[in-house]
Amino acid sequence: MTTPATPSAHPHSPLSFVEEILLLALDDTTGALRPMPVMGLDYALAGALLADLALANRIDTDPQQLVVLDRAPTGDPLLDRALGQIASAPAPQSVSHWLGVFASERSTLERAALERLVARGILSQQEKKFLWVFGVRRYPTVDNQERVEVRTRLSALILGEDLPDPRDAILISLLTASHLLARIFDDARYHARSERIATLARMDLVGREVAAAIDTLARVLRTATPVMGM
Amino acid sequence: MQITPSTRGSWTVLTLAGKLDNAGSEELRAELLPRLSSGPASVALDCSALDYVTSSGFRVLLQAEKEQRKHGGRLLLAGLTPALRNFFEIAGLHTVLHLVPDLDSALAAER
Repeated sequence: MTTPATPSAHPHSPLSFVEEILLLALDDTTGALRPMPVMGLDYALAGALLADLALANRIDTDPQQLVVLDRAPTGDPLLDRALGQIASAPAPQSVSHWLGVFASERSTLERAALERLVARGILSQQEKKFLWVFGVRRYPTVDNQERVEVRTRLSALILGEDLPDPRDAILISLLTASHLLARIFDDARYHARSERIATLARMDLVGREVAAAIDTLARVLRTATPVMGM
Repeated sequence: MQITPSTRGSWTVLTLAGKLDNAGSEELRAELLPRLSSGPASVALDCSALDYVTSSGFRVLLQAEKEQRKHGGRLLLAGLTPALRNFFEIAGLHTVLHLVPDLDSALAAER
């Protein structure tokens, strides 16, 4: 998926998971990415891409494999490129395989999502010099309505007892897997609901695979890193 | 997937056979959701001949449970094979869906 990012054909359509995850990964005020585990955003965006394809009824998943249901274009260039890649594989592969493939294309996904969020008027783009030398790009929020709405909805879901709709189940699963949920909802009320959050996060298979990929990588890095001071 | 409706007392039983994949999910959605969203209904899914469930299937079951709770009905899933039951447990759905091992004894107890 090397084609340059293309803004969505429908700027007034609801946010995709890829856009939503990236929006929630950015700090509201500074516009910088929140701290995440190594490859956290890479896998979260890859999972979001698969979730977008699943809810568009183009793919379906089980613990063994991801299958293409319909090769018809969705009208979203980002999704259609990914769908083309999956459909052209000689045999069905696992969800974790495709997460690995699309996680390696994080910069494409991230750039596309940022362009779309700017085009929607949700973010603005700001260039800053760091130590007057390095160029740092930030994406401060212009319109916080989307972020506030999704947070309000997820907060009610976490603190209440309602069942999530499929979309919110996926979102909570991806946000938990990438450790973003704990950054967004970081106070005692949410800490007390950790069991509820874990239950909600398990409900989506793609989210579980994202969590497994990030946790495995963290374990590998822990064992590969020499202990300081020894 | 084959869906066969029948009535047992106050319960509607939908016997599911085959794969609850994307196509099966659409069939189940069309058969199940209108029953649960038109008022309090008692629906049991006989899953003893169900041999496969994908993420689409889980999404429909979750949606059905949500509808059932909204309208004050009852929804049972009976007779899942051990492999499928395990799959439901991995997804944590055994804590939100009412899974029972055997349809007959469950309906007798719920009557």
